[in-house]
Amino acid sequence: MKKLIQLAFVALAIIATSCEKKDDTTLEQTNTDIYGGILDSYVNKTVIPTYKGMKDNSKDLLTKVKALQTNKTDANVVEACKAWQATRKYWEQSEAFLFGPADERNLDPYLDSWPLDLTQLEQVLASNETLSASNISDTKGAQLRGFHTIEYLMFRKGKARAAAEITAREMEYLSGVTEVLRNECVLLYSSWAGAEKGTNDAEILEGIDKSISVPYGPSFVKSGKVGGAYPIQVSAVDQILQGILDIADEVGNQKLGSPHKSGNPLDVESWYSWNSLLDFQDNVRSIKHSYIGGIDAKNTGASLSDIVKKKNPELDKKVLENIELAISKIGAIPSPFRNNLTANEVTVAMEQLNALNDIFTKEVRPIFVK
Amino acid sequence: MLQNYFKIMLFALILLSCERDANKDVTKPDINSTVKMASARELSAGVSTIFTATSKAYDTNADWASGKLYDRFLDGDALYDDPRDTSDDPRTGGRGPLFCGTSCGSCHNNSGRTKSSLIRDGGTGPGDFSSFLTFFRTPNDQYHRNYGRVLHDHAVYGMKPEGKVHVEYTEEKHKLPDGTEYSLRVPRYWITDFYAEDIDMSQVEMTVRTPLRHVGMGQIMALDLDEIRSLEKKQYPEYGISGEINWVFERGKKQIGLTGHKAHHADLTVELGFLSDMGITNHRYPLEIAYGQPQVTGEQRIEISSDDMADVDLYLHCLGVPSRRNINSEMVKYGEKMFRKAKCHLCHVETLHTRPEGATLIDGTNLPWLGGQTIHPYSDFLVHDMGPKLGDDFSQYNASGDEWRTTPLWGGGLQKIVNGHTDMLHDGRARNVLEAIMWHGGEGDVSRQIFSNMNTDDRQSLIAFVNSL
Repeated sequence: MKKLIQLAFVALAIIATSCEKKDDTTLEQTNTDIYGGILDSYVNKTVIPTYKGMKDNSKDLLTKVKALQTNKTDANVVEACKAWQATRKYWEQSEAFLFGPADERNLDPYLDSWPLDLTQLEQVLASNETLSASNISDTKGAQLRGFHTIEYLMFRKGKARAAAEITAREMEYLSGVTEVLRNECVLLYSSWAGAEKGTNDAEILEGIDKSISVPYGPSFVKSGKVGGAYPIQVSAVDQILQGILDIADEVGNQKLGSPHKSGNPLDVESWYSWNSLLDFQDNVRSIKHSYIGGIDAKNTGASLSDIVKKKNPELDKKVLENIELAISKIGAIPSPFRNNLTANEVTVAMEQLNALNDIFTKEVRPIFVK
Repeated sequence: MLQNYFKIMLFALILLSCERDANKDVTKPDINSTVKMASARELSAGVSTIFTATSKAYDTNADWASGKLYDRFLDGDALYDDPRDTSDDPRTGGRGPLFCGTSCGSCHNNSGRTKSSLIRDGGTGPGDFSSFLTFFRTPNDQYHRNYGRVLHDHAVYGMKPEGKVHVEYTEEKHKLPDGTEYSLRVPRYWITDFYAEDIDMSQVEMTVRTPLRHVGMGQIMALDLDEIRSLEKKQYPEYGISGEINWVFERGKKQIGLTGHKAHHADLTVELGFLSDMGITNHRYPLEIAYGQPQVTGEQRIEISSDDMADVDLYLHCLGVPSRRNINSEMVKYGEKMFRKAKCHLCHVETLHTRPEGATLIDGTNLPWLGGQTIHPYSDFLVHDMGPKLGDDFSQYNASGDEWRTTPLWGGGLQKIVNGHTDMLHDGRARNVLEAIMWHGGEGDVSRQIFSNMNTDDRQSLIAFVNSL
């Protein structure tokens, strides 16, 4: 009987929740300047500057790796490692917008697959094949390229490897795989922003036989109009929120949650460089930038935050506070994460990410999506 | 017995409570409320309907998948998405030696249809997945020596893929009666770079299949099969329509085929997918897909646990189905009339029902929430002869080369947002809804002709309706 009563409650809960209408299907096209402004600043003050930062730093990373190839010194490994971290920061700060080009062109897996396939990587390094960028791009899968392959080749135990440890074959692969990463960072940026003829970006794209017919950024801004990426503006705003929810969930339940649950350091992303906690904090900054309308707090545009503040100033304050709390609670986890998987601070940070997720799901999203 | 009765009554109550007109709210509407009631027309899948039109529209759990179910859903989601490596780690490894994709999600990105390298690269793509499968055999319906059912066009490092697939498209220009021009992309496929001896293409029967959307998998597995049988009995000779069940033989018994382009599977093929698509052995298929080939050596072992596969199965069953959109648009409403005028609804059946008891996973877990629902998949799950032009000369069970399962249309209008393209049909040859309709032959011929003879506005309205699903 108790079970039946429980079942009744479950059923009633289902009635209550399943009949709640949370979409935009019956909303008239709002086409307001406000939503248009949010989409505009999201693309032009958050997404494109983030990808520009990643693209510019990836070029610097390639320069540093080439310098290391020419002159294999410990100092040059350190410089290349710093450039990797600078590029990585922007990638992690982009993970609240892994829809559109990152998704459709398979760039997310190519740039950031984890774990690495060390079994195959060792075989590749032991082979006689030429490890050029074009060969890697044409024949090597996602688990043999991207940030983590470069990381593995340059870092050990949170530090730059000694130059003498890096073999000639590793150096050759590092050079090729970094060039592929640079190409893909340029492709990702250009897929949103376009590539003007005659620029270095356009040359790079030509070199890899890629072209951008219609950049995604302007069409995302145009949502709700002819040629817009989304048929109505509300759906595009909802996509911004979806991106926020996805990364909050991923950081809380997978990036922190999976290794916490398994206790296996191999489940920890970025553990050769011990960059994991910085990665996760940057993921939360990605949420912040998406919410406040820009990557520079002093130069933001129309934003989700503006609307929330108008409707409910306390809620806006709560969102911003909880974003900062998430950043600080991740920062409170003893470093390196791989050696502290079961620390209480991990649980606290996971709970904070879930709390942030709840605020966006239950309080913020309903303001925008009826 | 009483418990079951009680459950059925409760689910009927759930259904009834949702299937009411939005204008007849039980409670007095609060004009300041941010919650609106869904109308029956929006509820694509009863209590499994979700309300999102974003890139995650195919990749979000139904509301009832909560608590422990949600934990398993997340585990299954990760197993579905995360690429498998080639290590011996039973949690993350086992891929290869031959494979077509690195994870379910490599070809079903966001649980949809990853754009195929057929279109992007003219066949087998670079990297380690191409987002299509190639079935091939001899003209006598036998496997080629040293090959199996599927041509695996990717392999782990140091191994040779079984072959590389190529496609060449010919543009066939056409004009509709009102002067509207359109073009059909006619593919020609061939294979090169066989890992063993070359096979002359005259000795190859092959078909190429792009991934299907994983929308409504749970509902499909819970379908009231008596209803499918009764749909088979409905014939429409005046329109040349006579769908039939594809009876398949799986798990040692004859069953109604429901999934796959020719309804050639009875379940969600999780175990088969892990083995055949990714080269990951499991308890149901313990031998490597390439076992017996000269290039495969070493001990055979189980590479993924049954528990993990059950979680993937659960994930697929618990996915919500996106609600319809733009249902109040006059164009969409009119388009629905045109859909019926063109007799599309005779095969793309609007309303079906699920069994009272719901669906059961491969590990025996029952999901009663899928039971007793009124759903709108826009399919009869039967196979229909669509004519030789769309046919692939590749029969599967009693579905002939020209027969195809009616594709469920639910969620289809969101494919551009979820996967960034609108390629359709079994091999992605159609670039949009209009082309997909114009490929309809055989039993779809009458619908195609009616559609062709409509004026532009009527056709556009019909397409707008299809995109609202």
